[in-house]
Amino acid sequence: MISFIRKLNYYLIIILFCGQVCIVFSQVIWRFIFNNPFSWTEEVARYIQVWIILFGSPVCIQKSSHLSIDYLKDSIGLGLRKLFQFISYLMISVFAVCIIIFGIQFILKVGYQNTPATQIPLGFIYIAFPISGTLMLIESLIIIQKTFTK
Amino acid sequence: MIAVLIISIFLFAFIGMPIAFALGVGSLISIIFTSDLPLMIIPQRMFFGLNSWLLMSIPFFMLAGQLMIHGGMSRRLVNFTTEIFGFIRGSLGYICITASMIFAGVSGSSSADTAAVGSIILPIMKDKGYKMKFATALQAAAGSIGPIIPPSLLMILIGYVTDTSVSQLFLGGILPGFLIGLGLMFVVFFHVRKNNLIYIRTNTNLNLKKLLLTGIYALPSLGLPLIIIFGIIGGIFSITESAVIAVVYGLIMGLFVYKEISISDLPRILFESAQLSTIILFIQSTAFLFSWIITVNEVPEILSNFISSLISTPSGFYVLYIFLMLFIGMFMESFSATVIFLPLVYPIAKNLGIDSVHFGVVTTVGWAIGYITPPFGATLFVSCSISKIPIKEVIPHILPIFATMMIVLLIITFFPSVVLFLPGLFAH
Repeated sequence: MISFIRKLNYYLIIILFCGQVCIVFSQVIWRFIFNNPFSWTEEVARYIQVWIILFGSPVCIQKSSHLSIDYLKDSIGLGLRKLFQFISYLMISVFAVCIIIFGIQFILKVGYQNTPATQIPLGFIYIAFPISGTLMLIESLIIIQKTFTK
Repeated sequence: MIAVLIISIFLFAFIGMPIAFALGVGSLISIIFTSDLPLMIIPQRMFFGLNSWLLMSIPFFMLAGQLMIHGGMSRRLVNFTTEIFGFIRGSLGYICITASMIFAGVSGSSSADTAAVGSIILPIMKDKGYKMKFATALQAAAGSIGPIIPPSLLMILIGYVTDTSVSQLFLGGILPGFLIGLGLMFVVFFHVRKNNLIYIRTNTNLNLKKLLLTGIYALPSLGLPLIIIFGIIGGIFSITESAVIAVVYGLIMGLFVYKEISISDLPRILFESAQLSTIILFIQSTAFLFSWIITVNEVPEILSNFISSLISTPSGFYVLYIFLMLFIGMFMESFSATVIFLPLVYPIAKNLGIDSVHFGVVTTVGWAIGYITPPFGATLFVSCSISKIPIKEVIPHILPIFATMMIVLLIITFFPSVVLFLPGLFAH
């Protein structure tokens, strides 16, 4: 199940990124050839950007590639290191839960408004927050579990 | 509220929580316990921290750099520079510096720069009997030029945070970047002299025909920085547009000209670049929340008033700032340091009437020195992991290199015209 979600996320990021490159490049071409850029390309590309980063973050948790200060980690004992890791990822889980709850609240509050150029309801764009929050929660819980079993 | 915010961020960062989350969790705690702000502000600020046309250029330049590394551009650059310097004593040192500088004009990321050139040149240096501890330190320093010579991911972020023209920053970085390159060449020169090392020359003499040939092979990678720089300076492209052009250019080169990338490699390259960008930009999104909280509480103003009661001249400010940067650079990576500290420090500089382009370039060079200073130096880390030498053993060789870069930093800080000359020529 988890590996299926990860796979799905992997392809989602690739497709989004690929689409973003195509959209922005076509905007450049259109501006040069026809001298009138589309009005929607910039907006869509920006929203894709938000999505890529939000969906990319759980992957960074999984691979522990988010930047951190490792100075202390190398100079303390295993027990303390595990404790610190547990505290860190517990707090990350709390933060992820907040992103889910308040992301949904955010959607309910302003989600009905439409985007300026494309007239998509903003709720569709903000939906990335609860999804990303859920994925981050899953990944950090997995790390907490690993802390205790390894 | 601010005390809670700052203390919890540092505490969490200190115990090893990723910086991005330390910023987020710290902000969360300070909002919950010390204010009645709605927590909806968290996703909202994170959204606006990412929703930027300019910041989009970061993943694009990242992707362009990855395409060129996988497409074999870095190897051709090394071949070309070998033909230029091959007949000089200690040539590989100069090759390492020059290739890194040219690649800096393509990729914009210091770690990518170090990995791309280092993984080719360090094994060759080992073969030819170079002192590897010195070579490792040198490659780390050469790679740190990456963010100084345009295009530069770090400058894009600095320009975004301080609301400064990124193309002006790019122009301002060119001369300091060359100065550091030149300084490093002196270090190599004295290293070879002092130890009286007889490094085998890679070539016996200058071979014009081979020089021309490798030059032609390397031409596409030499052409790209020029396209980018002139496109941006001439006002033909915006930063983001030039970044996407770099992507398409790298793709065409890799797929059809050098033919080292196949279509089936593309998903992996896209995913890797998206990942590397996420690492930078996710910090930016939670840092946006953090900097919003400190701005709402007027911390920059308070801090600025406090500091200006102590120091009243730009030089006094810069002396303190350089010490601060060197200290932070030892422990923190440049992107996190930028989004955390610049919102606090930049208002002070602005109050003292310091030019924002000058400030941005000095900051870039200051963080670049942080790349090579242990215990945490980003390019030092990459370089050491390529040559498989522990960081501890490289430290003595860092010293002369560090001194050289410090001299350049002091020159550009106290002679602002070195930085501002080129941007002044092309000011719109």
